[in-house]
Amino acid sequence: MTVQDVKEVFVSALPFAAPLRAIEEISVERAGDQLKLRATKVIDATDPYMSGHFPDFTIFPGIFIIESLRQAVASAFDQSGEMWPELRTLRSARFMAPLLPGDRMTLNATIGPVSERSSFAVEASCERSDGVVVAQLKAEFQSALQVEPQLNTNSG
Amino acid sequence: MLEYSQIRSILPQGHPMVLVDRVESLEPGVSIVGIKAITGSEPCYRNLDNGLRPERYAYPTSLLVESFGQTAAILWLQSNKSGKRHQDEVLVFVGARNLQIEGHAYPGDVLRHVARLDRVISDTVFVEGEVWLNDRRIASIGSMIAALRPRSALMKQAISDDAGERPPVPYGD
Repeated sequence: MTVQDVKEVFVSALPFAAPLRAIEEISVERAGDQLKLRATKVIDATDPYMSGHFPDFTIFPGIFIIESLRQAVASAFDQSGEMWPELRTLRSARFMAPLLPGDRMTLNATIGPVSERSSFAVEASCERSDGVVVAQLKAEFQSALQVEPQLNTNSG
Repeated sequence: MLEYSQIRSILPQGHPMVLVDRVESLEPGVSIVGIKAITGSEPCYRNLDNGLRPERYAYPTSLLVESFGQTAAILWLQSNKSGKRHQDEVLVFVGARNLQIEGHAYPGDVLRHVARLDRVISDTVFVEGEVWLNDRRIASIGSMIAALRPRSALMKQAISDDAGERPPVPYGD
C-alpha cells in the first residue's frame, strides 16, 4: 500500500461496494510516521439509502459515519494496487449529535504509523460546520486481502 | 418467527434501508436470530464497475453492522411491547465497542445475526452478538448501544437554517 497525496476533489467512482459516497473531498498529509487526513461530506437526502432513514424525516445514520471513515482511509492509499485498507476492528464509536440534510461533516483522522502487511490504528473526530462534535471513532484497519485470506489464492 | 411484512411494520426504517428479511427466533428480553439475504441488486452495487477483484464486491461493513443493529432493534422493540415508547421517539445508534470484522459476505450469501440483550439502562439499550455465514463467524459485536430520542428534538435542528446558531441537542451519552 502506498500513500497518495490526494489534494483534489474526490470524484472518481469508488472501487468497492459502498452504500453511498460518504466523503466528497479529502486531503492527506504526512506528519512524521503518521498521516493526517481531512475529509468532508455534505449530507444529502437524495443519496442512496437515505430515503429509508427515515421515510418521514432524514438523518444521516451513525453507521454511515463509519462508512465515511472507511472511504477516507481507503482513499488515502493508492487504489490501483491489490492491497487497500479495510476496517478490521472498531474499538469504539460514539455518536453525539445528529447530521441532517445540508449539514457539512468534516472528518479529521490520524492514521498510523502505517507499515506494509500489518494493521494500523486510526483515530477520528467528526464535526458539524457549527463546530459540534458529532462522532468520535477509534479503529484498526488492515489490508483487505488479509481480512479475506482465502481470496489470495482464487483471485486473479 | 417474524416475516418481512411484520419487520416492515416494526422497524422505523423504510426501503431500501430495511436490512433484515426474516426473524427466525426471538425470545423477548433475551435474544434474537435475524436473517438478511444479500443480493447484487442492492443499491450498494449500483455504481460498481465490472471486472474488479472479487473482494471489492464484499458487502459493505457499514451495512452489515446496520443489519445486525436492526435485528437487535427488533429484539428490543418486541421486548417492550407494553412499554412506553411514544410515536415521537426513534431508536438512534449512539455508540459501539469492539466490533471485529473477521470475514466478508457477497451477493448470494445469507447473513445470520445472533443478538443478545446485554442490559437496558433507562432509555438506553446495550446489545452484543455475532454475524454468521453458515457456520463461519464473520463479525463479532462486543457492544452496540442505542437510545430512544424524541424525533421532535432531532427535527428541530433541521428547521434551523443557520447552523452557527444551532444549540447542541443531547443525543448520545
